[in-house]
Amino acid sequence: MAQIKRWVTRLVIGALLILAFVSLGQKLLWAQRIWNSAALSQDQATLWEQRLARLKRDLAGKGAVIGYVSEIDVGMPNSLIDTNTEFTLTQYVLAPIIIQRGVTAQWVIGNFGGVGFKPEFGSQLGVSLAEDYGYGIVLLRRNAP
Amino acid sequence: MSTLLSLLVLLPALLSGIFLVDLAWRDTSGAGRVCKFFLGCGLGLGASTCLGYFSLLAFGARRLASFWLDLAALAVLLILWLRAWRRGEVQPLLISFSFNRRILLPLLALGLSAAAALLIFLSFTMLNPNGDFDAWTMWNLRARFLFRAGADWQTAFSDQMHWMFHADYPLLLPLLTLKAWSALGLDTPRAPILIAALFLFCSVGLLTAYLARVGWLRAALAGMLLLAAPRYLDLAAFQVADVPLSFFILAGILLGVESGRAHTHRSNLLALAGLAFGLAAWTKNDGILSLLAAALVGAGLLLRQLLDKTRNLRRSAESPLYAHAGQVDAAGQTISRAAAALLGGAPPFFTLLVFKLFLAPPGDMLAGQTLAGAVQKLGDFSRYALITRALLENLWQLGEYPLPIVPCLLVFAWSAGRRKLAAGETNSLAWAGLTLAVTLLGYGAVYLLTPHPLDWHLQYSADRLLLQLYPAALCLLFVVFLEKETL
Repeated sequence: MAQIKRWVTRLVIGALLILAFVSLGQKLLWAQRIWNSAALSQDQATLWEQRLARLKRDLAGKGAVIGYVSEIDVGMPNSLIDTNTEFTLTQYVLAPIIIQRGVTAQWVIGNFGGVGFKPEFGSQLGVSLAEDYGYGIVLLRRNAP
Repeated sequence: MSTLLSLLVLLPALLSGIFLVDLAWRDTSGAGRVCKFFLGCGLGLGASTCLGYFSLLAFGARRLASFWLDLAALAVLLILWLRAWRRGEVQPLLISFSFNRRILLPLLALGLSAAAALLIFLSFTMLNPNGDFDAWTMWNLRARFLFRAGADWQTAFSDQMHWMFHADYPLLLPLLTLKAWSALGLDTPRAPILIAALFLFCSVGLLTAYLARVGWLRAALAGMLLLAAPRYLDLAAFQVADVPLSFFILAGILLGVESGRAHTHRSNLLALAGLAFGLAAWTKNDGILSLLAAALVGAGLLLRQLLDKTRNLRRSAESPLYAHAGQVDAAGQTISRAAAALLGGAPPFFTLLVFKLFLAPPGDMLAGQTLAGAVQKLGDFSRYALITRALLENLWQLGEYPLPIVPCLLVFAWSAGRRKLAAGETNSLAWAGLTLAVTLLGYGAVYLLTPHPLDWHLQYSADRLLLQLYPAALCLLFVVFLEKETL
């Protein structure tokens, strides 16, 4: 009986070793599949850094807290990427400025993706356009002091 | 180049940890030394951030003070180590193996697995040098705030920040990154990448080398299983805190288990275990639960032991004096070991306390909570069902292996059979198993009370919480269920 159990143990250990190799092999193939040297420096954070480079320069001296509005604030269709990912990337790129959702700050970043900034958004939010950086990214100034 | 420079900046912290562990744990076997090397690297990195935090408070974020403090700590530990060496208590940290086929084959398989894991890590990292969502939302973001804000570094903890950025999270990882950036004068993504790689390979190295003290085949198998968990590799490459936290939980559990098996320096091992759990709490809020679990279970077992000893004392009141004295001595030893564990955990715990009391804004878990809401959630049984189902589902898919790993490991445990445990070991293994179980229960309680939508919270964190405990659970399983002779 002890002999049989020893063989079962060896078999199970062998199976676990195979599982480990197969798992690593699959993951290696995945890594090879996603690998694309043309995609270097094309990750979300780096691209967002490039997209906000001019805005970042313009924000110098405009306060420690800057507002942020996007599609969701003007009732436009939006996705998790619009509401969460791009907001957090904006904070990551612009740190140490604090990016706060809403229009309570004097200066507000607008991120309206494909549709871009429309004048009716300004009247809806109580802001006016200060600068358009393309890609739907704009700098807005709050109308009321 | 900046990777190498980052490594150089972290070198004093790494070496301090290695010397500290070598002074405390006197294992001179080949595998024991490898184990102490990986343990020392991780603990050294973690402990250096406690000094780093107070240097931040005293000198600000962009100074080299943290680096100089690391050098000073290294100098002190080196002097202590040299004195111990002259007394013949420690030996130079050279590792010698007698290579044979039984060692070489498992090592080769492990080496191949490690090389594959490194390739996977690098391929993701080169395409995503800033890590994943949680890295740019919390850990690397906090380091950026501290580095870029200069004199206004406290902005990093402003309560004006959106809750998603978790400004209340502990600072071990951001301070390690800041240490490298401050010394380099540049916020390069290479530093957090290096730190992520160090914790990944320290976790695997620690698990493997600890088990190798009993047998290389089981050690290599455990190491390979951890390296082959696709989700664990992902988390390392994402530059998030779950892998470092899993390292500290593994270290704490392993040191606690070892304290039950060792014949000498048991208090030293428990002090290191306390340090590891303290650093787990200083890594991430989830780690606070593992620290509390370790302390509560430890206190419970200690109380039981003391009660047993008191009962024995009463019984032996009429016996000869030596039996009475022996009981008192044993009770004293138990208390002094518990004190050693508390002493070891005190520096990171004190650092965390200062941070939470004086700097961190209220966390989203507490800020969004009312007593009435909490009571209502506690009485909502559908939440219990949802949490249990989600945890079981995630346990089934643990690590995202091609096959569910938990049933495979259960079959392995059944076939290997539980080995015969020594008396001291039973207590320490019970403590280790209960600590992991209570931590898991604690995670369940947090889900129960979460102010966020429960399904959303479970979806984005349950698998990571289980993986934080996975290396320690794997270690326990191999310690309990596989005897050297069965192979």
